[in-house]
Amino acid sequence: MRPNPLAHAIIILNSPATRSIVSTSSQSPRSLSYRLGLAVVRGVDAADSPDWLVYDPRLDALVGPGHRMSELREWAVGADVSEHGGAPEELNVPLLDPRTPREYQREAVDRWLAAGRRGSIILPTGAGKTLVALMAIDELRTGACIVAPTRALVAQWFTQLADAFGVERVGAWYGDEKEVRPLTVTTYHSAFPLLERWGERFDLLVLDEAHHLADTSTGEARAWHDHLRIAPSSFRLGLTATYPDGQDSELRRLVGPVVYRRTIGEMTDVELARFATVKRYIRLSPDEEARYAALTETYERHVEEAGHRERAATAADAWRMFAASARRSPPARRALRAFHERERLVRLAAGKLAETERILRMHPAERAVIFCGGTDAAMAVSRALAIPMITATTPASERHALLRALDRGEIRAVASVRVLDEGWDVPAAKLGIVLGDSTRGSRRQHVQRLGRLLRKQGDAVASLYEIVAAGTYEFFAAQKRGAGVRRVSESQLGFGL
Amino acid sequence: MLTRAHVAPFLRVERGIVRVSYLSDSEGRVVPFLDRLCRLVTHLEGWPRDAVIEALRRQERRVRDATRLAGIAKALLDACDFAPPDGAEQAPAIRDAVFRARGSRWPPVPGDARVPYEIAAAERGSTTSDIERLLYADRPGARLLVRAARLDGKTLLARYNLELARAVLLDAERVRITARGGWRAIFGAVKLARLMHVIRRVGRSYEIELTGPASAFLVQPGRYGIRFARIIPGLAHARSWRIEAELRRDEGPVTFRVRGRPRPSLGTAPIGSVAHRTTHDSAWERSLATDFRKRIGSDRGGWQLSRETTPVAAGEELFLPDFTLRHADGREALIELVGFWTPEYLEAKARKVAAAHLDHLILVVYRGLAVGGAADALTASVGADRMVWFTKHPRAADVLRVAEQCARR
Repeated sequence: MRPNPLAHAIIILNSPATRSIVSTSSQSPRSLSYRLGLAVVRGVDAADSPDWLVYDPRLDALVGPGHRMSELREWAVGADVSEHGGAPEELNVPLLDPRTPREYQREAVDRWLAAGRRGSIILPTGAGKTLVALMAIDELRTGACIVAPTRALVAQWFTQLADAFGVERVGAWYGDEKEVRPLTVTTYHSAFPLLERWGERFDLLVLDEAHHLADTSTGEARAWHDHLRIAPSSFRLGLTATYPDGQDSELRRLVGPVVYRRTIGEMTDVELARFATVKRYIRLSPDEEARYAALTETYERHVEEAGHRERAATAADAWRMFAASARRSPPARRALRAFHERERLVRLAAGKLAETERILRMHPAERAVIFCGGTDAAMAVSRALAIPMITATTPASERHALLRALDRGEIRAVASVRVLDEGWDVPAAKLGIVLGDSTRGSRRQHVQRLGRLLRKQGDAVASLYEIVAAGTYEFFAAQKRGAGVRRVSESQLGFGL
Repeated sequence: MLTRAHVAPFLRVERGIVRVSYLSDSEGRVVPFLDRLCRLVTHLEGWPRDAVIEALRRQERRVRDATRLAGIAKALLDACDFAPPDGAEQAPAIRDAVFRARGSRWPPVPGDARVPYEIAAAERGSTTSDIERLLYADRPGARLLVRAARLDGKTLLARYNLELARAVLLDAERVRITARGGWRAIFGAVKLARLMHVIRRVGRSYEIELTGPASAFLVQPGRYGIRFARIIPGLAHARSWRIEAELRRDEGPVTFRVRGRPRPSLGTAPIGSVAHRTTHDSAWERSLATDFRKRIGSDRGGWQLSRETTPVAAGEELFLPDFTLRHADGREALIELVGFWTPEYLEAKARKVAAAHLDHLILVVYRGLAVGGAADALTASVGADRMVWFTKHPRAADVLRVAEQCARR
């Protein structure tokens, strides 16, 4: 391949140490702008600019990451550099919300304003984080991008924003729906292209369920920090009920510090519903039990023979070794299949369905959410009980309609996998039934599920039932996830039935 | 498109170079097996997608490497056509009827499990079994295989290997493409990908260097990888092509090289073309093309509007106008639509246009951008008589009026 004429320029781009040898085109006016995730400075000598800017030969300009636009704006004022490009949207309407903010909501917003309009607010589910965000938007009256983890939440935010500021000011950007308005709601999945193209229109970034931005995020969520890096928004607000303490260095750097925190235990029963948690144990049928034993035998025998547990330092490592071996080893593959089949058997155990019906009959007046361990289980519950199923692939409009119907009492229960674990808002739903978890005993998932039921509505008491197949691995998963809730229920409010 | 998980086991790094273990048929057993998979899928026409996937997975017992099979199955299914079953469009209404029927008879009691279905069937003049069958008929997994890919083992092998190479690009930070021929499709694909690109002439061919705009500041490798990978279908039109990509991995930067030659059996678009799905890369371009087709009339005054994928020399570099207007008498005008861009983009555009000395180039510019000196610079470079401003949608009539004045042979 012939020498690359850009090679020198690329070295410069990647090496800030050499930045002093370059300067942008002197013909360009002195300007600052945002382009495709970059803060772009033109017409300024490198020596006269902040030292963290680097030369980008593609643009013949000094560039920095988009999230440092606010620093550059301050620098530009004293450096005679004018800002070009799209300005943040203005929101010339007041907040129209009939709710009176509670004292702690006002206090949370005040602390956030005092902290430079950056930082995270931690409030229990049901404590009104959305209203806090609406109040923050109202304080700034500027374009805001609201990022939420699921489409269901996008639909919910859309409704709340439309009610509060007028539907003509609210847009949604995800999947096939891409409309940018002064207040635009998007998913974490879609936020990057939105902020890349339209970032300068939003001076405020609201990050719902901000615990998804923990340092330990895996898979696709790891890339979500990059949304914060390219966003030029000066002001940022993180909202969560389960803040990732100790795993928040990126959150602190890119969003700001924790500015306000209250836990379920600190809230009074004036602010959150009282709740009870109950475990119900069922037995597998004789056929299920025999199948469970056979599958366990297939799986355990292979794991023992392969010796993964002895050779690995941790249980997680042993699992990784086992899963990797299943790629090329037919016996390991059979064992892995047996493992998954066993989980499926427990998820779909006939006794769980019967027990669910019993619980629904015990609470005939309640609206219920049935949390399932997988789509197959949710489908089985939906078909057997003739109730709706909400999964990740349920269209946003249908989810929205179902949750509204649930709120109005036209339907009385929904089955869900993970998508209803967090963020949705049906105050009337006060009965939760956990048939399984998709995270093998995650406390966070369990607390989030409980939180769905805690929104205060009169004196209604929330009930969260767990149906556990006795004598299976699920017993231990239930113990593990229950630990988080015991801490809650033993504090001030919970009581056993 | 394959995922990183499909390709990861087949990558190894040797002295900074990524090597891919492509699937070969050295023992003569692979192609017959792939032939068999292709035949199997043909027999499964009419089956739901979930069942087809399960049937392919069950072939695991015939192979040593399950990840290979998963990748091959994905490549094969991506080439198949699926469609919703008959009546699937009724599914939302059926669900609504069933669930409301249950809501009005709450809570469920022993023996009434079928009652909501019977109520919904009576309401809709249907049968209970049809109601149960169609309840979730609109799920992706319920879509039916209506046309299996017409592939044989050799073609599937080539397609899978190309898909492996494509999946490697998911981790790319920078990609350089050189190719012989087929540039119209390649440039089209590059434009659609919204990457920063520099195009240079190399002898009688072109070289394109592609980069993600902000990749130097991001932590997650492969942020723009999917956009790089989308370029690959465009390469199918080239006589031969070569890609050199820089990847960021845990062990540091590494290089991946791949080259391709035509395979008559692959046809022109072996792995599905992006370009055929999205002809225009913005709503305004689509709007201009539609307006031209609908409003200008059948004879269109002798003018034809076509999507342009031949680059135009602009100083040291090349750029691609969006459309060409060609008249029956041989005159033509180039059209560049300037939509949602920053003043810097306009300035750069102005410099390019000035350098190109293209007096038959018409710029169609969104009025919302007419801010600051950039718009003035653009007008000065191009000339006010060759600019068409629009506020909502570009109008073909306005463009034609200017074209009549500036088109050249």
